[in-house]
Amino acid sequence: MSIDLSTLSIKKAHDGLKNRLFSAGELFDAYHAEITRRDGDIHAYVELYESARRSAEEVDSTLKNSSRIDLEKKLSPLAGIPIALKDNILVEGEIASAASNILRNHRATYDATATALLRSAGAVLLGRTNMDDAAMGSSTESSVYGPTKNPHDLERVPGGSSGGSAAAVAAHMALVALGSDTGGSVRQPAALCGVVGLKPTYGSISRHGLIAMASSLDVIGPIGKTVEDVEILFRALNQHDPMDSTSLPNDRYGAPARTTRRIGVPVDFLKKGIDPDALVRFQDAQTRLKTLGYEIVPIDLPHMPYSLAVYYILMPAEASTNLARYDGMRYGFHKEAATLLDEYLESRGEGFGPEVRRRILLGTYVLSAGYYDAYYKKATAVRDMIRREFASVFAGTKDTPAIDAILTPTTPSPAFKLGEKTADPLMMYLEDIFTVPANIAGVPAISVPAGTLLRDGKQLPFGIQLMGAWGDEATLFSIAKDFSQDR
Amino acid sequence: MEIDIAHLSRLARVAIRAEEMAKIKKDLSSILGYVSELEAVGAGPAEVLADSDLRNVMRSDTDAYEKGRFSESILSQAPDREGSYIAVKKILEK
Repeated sequence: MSIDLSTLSIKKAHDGLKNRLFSAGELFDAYHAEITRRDGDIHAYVELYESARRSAEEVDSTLKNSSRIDLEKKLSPLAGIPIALKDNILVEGEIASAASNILRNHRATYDATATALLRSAGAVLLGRTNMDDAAMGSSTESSVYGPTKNPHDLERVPGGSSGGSAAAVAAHMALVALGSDTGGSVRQPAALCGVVGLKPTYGSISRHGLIAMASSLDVIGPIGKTVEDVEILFRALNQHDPMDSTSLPNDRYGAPARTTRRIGVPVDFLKKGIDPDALVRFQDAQTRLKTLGYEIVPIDLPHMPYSLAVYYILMPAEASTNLARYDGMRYGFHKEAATLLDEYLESRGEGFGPEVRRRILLGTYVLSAGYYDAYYKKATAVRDMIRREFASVFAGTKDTPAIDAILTPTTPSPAFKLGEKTADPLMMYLEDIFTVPANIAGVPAISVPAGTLLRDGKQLPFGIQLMGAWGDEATLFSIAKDFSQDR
Repeated sequence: MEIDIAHLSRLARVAIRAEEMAKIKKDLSSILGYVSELEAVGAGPAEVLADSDLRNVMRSDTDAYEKGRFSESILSQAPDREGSYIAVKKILEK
């Protein structure tokens, strides 16, 4: 039978497999055909794994050798589900390059914990997706493999850094995908591509085997067409992992159910910098939530606007430290030179692209003697204030009642044109103004499609973001499902 | 503020081509200008976050996997090796 990929969800695919409407092999073939048909234009993938068909066949042999009752009980919800992985998540034996020249020939020697969990659940790992160089960027344009295009308009960017994963899901070239989010890299491309993206609570998904960028901010996050798909993937990966010391023990994770049905909007923060058409969509979204029975209340997070400045100190500082391991001596790109020092300088100089070099130098600067207190120490102090404000605004203050979630647009504007923001790094950074605060505060945040905007005759997706209290993905899923009407 | 790109480049062990110096200096100045808005923020409360879940995470110093399991796949990726060692240029001259 032909499978309608545009309306397929994890649950529908699971039921289809269980009821033998199609096989895992046929499901894989359907996605493979779509990739062959469209990815020449979009360039979401940088490599397809040869092992994918084999994994699908293994699921089929389980299906064939099990009784109906067995399947009902034992078939994992992710068995046979085709998933794309961002190129910074390790898959044993496969290249994992973070779309960076410095790791272009680096072959993973082990599975990331996320990869291993998906594998043991029987998921079919389709391939690795394009991203910005070392996950640094908001457009996928800094990739060593060249940019990914937005499936809704090939002249525009898909967002980034997980642009390939978001574009693959939006173009039905994967049912779901994993990305990573340090300052918005799952939510921003999800918004620009019209799909759902979750940045979970810091520490809720193991990062063992994720190529590190800024370790106090990095998380792995799922991308899907529906909130439910994203929720299923999150629940499958939300497990303690002794291999990641920041991974939260299962008994310390989670939050009490929130039932105020109140959503806070940080009105002052949203006063400027938003595209007028996007603002209209954002107001539509608030109206819709009110119709659904939610109360929208203005909230004040006075230090939230400083999040991006905090981010551009902490992130480069941590990235410059993490990236010190790529020295050209042990693995990855190596350049011969006259002396050992020159080999370090040249291997790293040529191995890292311009944006990565810029951030390494910035990180080196803010950590250097004499500047450390003014930059890094100050930024960590302001981060503490922001975290405090987030915690208090959810609990309720003397001025505002307790709330279930915070609502903002995911991005200030819809997808921009390729090349539009590459000349001025600060302009590119401002793309993450609404997504960065959740990383700074360590709280979960989800981006959900909220209509489209017309640009040059094309309808471009617009996304809203819901931020939750620490450990409270459940409330975000609940509100997001109400909003998207996929219950 | 004056940023010495050549000095930073040496500290970070990242070669920056001469023709890139001006552009990267301009970019860093603009980013540092932006983050300097934090100067306006007063000092916060000194106490540790009340709801802080920060704690030390320790693990016993035992082998997480059997010895040698990854040696060959890791060594095979080194640009230069001698047996089970990664080979690099001499750092001391005679």
